[in-house]
Amino acid sequence: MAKKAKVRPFEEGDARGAGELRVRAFPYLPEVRELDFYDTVYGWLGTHPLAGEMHRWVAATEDGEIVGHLAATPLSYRVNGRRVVAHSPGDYMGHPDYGFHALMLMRKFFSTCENCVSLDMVPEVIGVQSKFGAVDAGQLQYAAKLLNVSRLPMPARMERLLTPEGQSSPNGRPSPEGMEQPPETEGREGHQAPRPRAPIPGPVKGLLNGGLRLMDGALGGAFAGGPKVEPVQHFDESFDAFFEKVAAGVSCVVEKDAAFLRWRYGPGSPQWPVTVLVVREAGGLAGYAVVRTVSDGQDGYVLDLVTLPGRRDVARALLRESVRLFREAGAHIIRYRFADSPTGPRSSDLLRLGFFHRNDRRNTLMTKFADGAQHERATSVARWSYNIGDGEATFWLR
Amino acid sequence: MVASNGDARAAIRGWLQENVTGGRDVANDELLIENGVMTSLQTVELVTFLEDEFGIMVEDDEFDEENFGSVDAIATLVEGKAA
Repeated sequence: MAKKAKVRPFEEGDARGAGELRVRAFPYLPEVRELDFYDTVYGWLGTHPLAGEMHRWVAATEDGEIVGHLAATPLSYRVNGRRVVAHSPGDYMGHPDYGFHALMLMRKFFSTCENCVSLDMVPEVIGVQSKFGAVDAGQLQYAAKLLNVSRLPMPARMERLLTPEGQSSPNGRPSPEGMEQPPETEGREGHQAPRPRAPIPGPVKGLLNGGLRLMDGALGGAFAGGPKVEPVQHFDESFDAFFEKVAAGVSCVVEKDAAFLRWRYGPGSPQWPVTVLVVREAGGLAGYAVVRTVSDGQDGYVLDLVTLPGRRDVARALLRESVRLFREAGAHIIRYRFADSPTGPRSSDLLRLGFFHRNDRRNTLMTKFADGAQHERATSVARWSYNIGDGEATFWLR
Repeated sequence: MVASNGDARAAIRGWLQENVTGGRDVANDELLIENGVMTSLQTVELVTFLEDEFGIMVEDDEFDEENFGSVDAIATLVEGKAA
């Protein structure tokens, strides 16, 4: 039977207990065993200008075991033309025997933080947030592009063709020894360990990868001759002026001025180093993208991509260059999660660059604002300019 | 507001019958959470009902398994706040 537990503010000595709970909650994620990484992330969060408004709570038993944890990270947003601070619930976890306390933690969040912006894909967590008044504003788009099939499991049809009868395991699938992991193991939202499947045989891989490379060359050519894209080393003042132009054109956006971007992606950030691409015109910045690879370079992420409202040509050019960079870096897959908005690419642009849209594993944007007008505005993802790198969801990305 | 102990218990049991147990009445001392009668998520809905029905506010530190463990415990919480 579960022991008595109470929700209280996080204390310095709770880090180890929270780490042990993280391992229990996400046993299939190897990185959760790296306590130092989480210390680093929280240290970095402590350097944000709003760090004083950050909260962490734990549910702890009488003998000190940590059975629940929730962090509330603040960010500034521009909603309906006004600056507002909203918190995101993150690093949320609970011991299976203490479901009530997990709920108490979320109640604590909503009674403490008057505004909430959250990205989630776990139905139970979305359900809990709804109970406390957050509104499902809609889902982000999830586009992916395959550059290399080496990590992919063999498609079932091909597996049947290539595996002689009698060589499969009793459950109809080959032995897991030496199997490669399918690519969908990213993030802490993938709550189930993947089922082992046979890899694609080497010669077939070579053929497929060659085909993908050829196709990329042809698809990339479709947008040749667009605006010039160049890498930059710093987020300079031109990003401030650019943000003001973007904020004037959309209802809801994270306050992404130069200072924010330096904090978010600069030295000290868990995602540093990143590559920053820009399109500059006579009037200043026309758009930028922030990209990086993780998992030893195999997973490419478009963390942020913003253009002046309506500049599809700039979005296409930034995407095209991002694809080129990821291919050069040897990435196997590109993942891009974003809200459809006038400050990003259109669906047709992504398709022409060889991206495909995924309907599963999409993030749901949950919002709640104390101000009625801001709440009304923020409760539709269609009014947001939002990229996966903007908020808490990717702070933990390794 | 709560008129009597009986009213609070009856109202809570009525809400549980309608929203949780599929029509089955529960005893006042039945263990709701420990025995899995009511999920923690349903407790959130119950709190909303109590606040609306009895004009009370359930504070964070009162939202725990002890205060919501049985109809008797919930009624005691409600009566204490409404007194």
